Amino acid sequence: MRATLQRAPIRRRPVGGALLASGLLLSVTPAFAVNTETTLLVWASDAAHKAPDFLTVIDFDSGSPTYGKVLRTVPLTGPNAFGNEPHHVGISNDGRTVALGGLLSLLKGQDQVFFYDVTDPRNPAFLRSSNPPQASITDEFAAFSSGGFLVTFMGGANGAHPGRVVEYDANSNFVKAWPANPPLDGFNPHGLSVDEAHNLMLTSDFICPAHTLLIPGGGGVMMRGCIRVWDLAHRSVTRSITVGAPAQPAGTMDVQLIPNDPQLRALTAGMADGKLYLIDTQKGTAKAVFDFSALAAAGTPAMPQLLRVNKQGTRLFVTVNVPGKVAMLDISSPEQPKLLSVVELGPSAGPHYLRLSQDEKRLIVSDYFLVEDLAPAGVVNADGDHKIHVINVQDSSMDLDARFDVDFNRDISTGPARPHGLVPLPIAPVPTDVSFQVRVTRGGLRLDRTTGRFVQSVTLTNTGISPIAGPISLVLDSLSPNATLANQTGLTSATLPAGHAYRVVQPGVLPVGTSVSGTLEFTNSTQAAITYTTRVLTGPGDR
Amino acid sequence: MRLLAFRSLLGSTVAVAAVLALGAPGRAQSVFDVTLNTTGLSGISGYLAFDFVDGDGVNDNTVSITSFLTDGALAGTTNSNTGGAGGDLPGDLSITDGSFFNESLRGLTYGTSLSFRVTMSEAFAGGTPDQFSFFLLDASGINTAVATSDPAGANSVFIVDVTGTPGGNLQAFTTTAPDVSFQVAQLPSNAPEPGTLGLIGLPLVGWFLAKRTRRIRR
Repeated sequence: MRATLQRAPIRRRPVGGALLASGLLLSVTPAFAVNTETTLLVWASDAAHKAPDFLTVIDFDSGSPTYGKVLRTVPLTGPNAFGNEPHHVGISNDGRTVALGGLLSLLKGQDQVFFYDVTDPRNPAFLRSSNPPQASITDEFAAFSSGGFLVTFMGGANGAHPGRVVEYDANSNFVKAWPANPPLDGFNPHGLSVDEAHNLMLTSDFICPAHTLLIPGGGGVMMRGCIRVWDLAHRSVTRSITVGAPAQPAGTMDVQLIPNDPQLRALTAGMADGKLYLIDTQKGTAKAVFDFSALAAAGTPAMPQLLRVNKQGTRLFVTVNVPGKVAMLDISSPEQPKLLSVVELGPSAGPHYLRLSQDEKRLIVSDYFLVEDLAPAGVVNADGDHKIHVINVQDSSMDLDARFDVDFNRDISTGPARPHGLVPLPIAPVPTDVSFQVRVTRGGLRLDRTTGRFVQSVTLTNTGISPIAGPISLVLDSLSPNATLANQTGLTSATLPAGHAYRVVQPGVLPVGTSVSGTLEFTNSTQAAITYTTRVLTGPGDR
Repeated sequence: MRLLAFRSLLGSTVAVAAVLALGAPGRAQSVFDVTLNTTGLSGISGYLAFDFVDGDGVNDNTVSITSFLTDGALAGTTNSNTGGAGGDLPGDLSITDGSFFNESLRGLTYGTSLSFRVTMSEAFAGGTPDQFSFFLLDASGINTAVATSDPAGANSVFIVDVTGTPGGNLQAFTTTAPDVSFQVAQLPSNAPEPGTLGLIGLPLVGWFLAKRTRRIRR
């Protein structure tokens, strides 16, 4: 299916109306400690392509006298150092490894993913690079709770559809390209959102990348509009949801599951049609619920791009590329989102990538999308002002942080540069909900007279297809108020719902098919039953 | 006419006996025979604790303790019953899970042995199962008389979770206390009580007599 996107009649998009997508937001929404990030890493390229692609180390400590200043750059070295078109950034669940994607590494036939150890955030250390088979055009990353990443690649080996989702293990080694038999109806996965607790993964098809290149058969736009629903455990696509009019695909660059939504719904934005869609992953429907056109000047497209949802699932942040704006919507009622606040980034802005700080009080936005000026060139010429914007976020308003002033046209020693993916560090390790792959079998309760507590055995069995990293904690949600977990390890604080008692049942790894048992001890001063539901969290960090 | 009436009565008796022997249709139950060697505790005062704790808060189950025997000496004449517990040893006990914690407690001076039968219904709605547990307590009524291999540290003699499957989930523990041992045997769910055997036998005798009467009349 071939579609044509109207050229944006504004000065910063003078060439080529076609737009290639990039960017995506890490969809596994970890809950982090508050105000811990003091360093910002930005993955960028030299605009003239004369210097290597590089990581930028920026002071992100708001109390520092050099807040918002570039501290140093860490260039790639070796044969893969140039021409990757730096794109998105992933961060491992333990916060120690960043993964950097090269959108157009394929054009040079070189490695496409670069892993760095960021245990010391201000001194990233190169670990390894990878050129996964059957996959190209690196896009979004999602971190596994047990370590490792899933990565969307919009293209197959030749840059055209079908693309793949590539899996890396905790040591950044290639595992496999999924699915085993990809759909043949325009599978170009870009957006990625994962909910391990519900065995759910979503990808969004955006555009066929090879067709944007000025090569035989290329030079145009083959937009997509489809959300793929996956069985995460089996890495298989179970449902395809068309978004927008089939004859005019919406251009679904990104997709984000709504945290804590009992209906397991998600949001996606149509870059081509300017609409926000509510995706019902269980019923297989897509419904337009908001139109970003009102944020653009008359006759120009809005082009909403990447999405970010807060941990509670009540706020949506969107980069609106053409008018150079960032919008915050109230999605408490996702069928009727309400526009709460819009930040205008300036006349030459073209915001694209965004990420929330751990406390969700700072939204960091990079102002560059994609200019296809490598060889072979392409039709996409969607530049930005090359700044990094920091936006202070309140409950229903946003405002630019004027103190944070980073301009990649001014601040990089090798000359003007293009910033794309970014991540604030350090990130506290975050546990992940793996309830979907753990069977919890409860024994009955009996009275231990010496303690006055009611004791209960619980057995956790790994029913999934991969080992579960320890420590493994059993969280008791909705514990009846008459009861207290007397031998709790602690209360949840880094995950929602917070304040719920949990107990570490297994300190180490739980291999596939194996079980571990533990004992819960309750106090109950009433004659009412002790009732609760369970949640299984794994990995290091506060619960 | 009298013969028909006799046959009708005989048929009813057989049906009732069959129901009694096999249990109520559609109601799964579990039966266990418990035999304890308490020689090592002989002469020591203590308590027997029959506990039934409600797990699911939904389905009601009942535990019956029958055929209680011991060569020890029961203290007093009544059990201390809590919640849905009722009855007094050496007679039968019935414990329902109408409350969270249900217990029948009885003091005794331990002899060399005791035995009883446990019959439990098996209604389970998922989540936390109801659990029956049995303890040998010392004279404090708080501490157990012997330590057992109970992994939760409660020192129960055995536990049975009501999991909705005949036989439930029995876990019988052991003790290293000298001259003390436990045996818990799971029986078929239709295992007859000694009294029930009589009910089964009675109609069989009746059937035999009726057959013999018909033969004589011919």
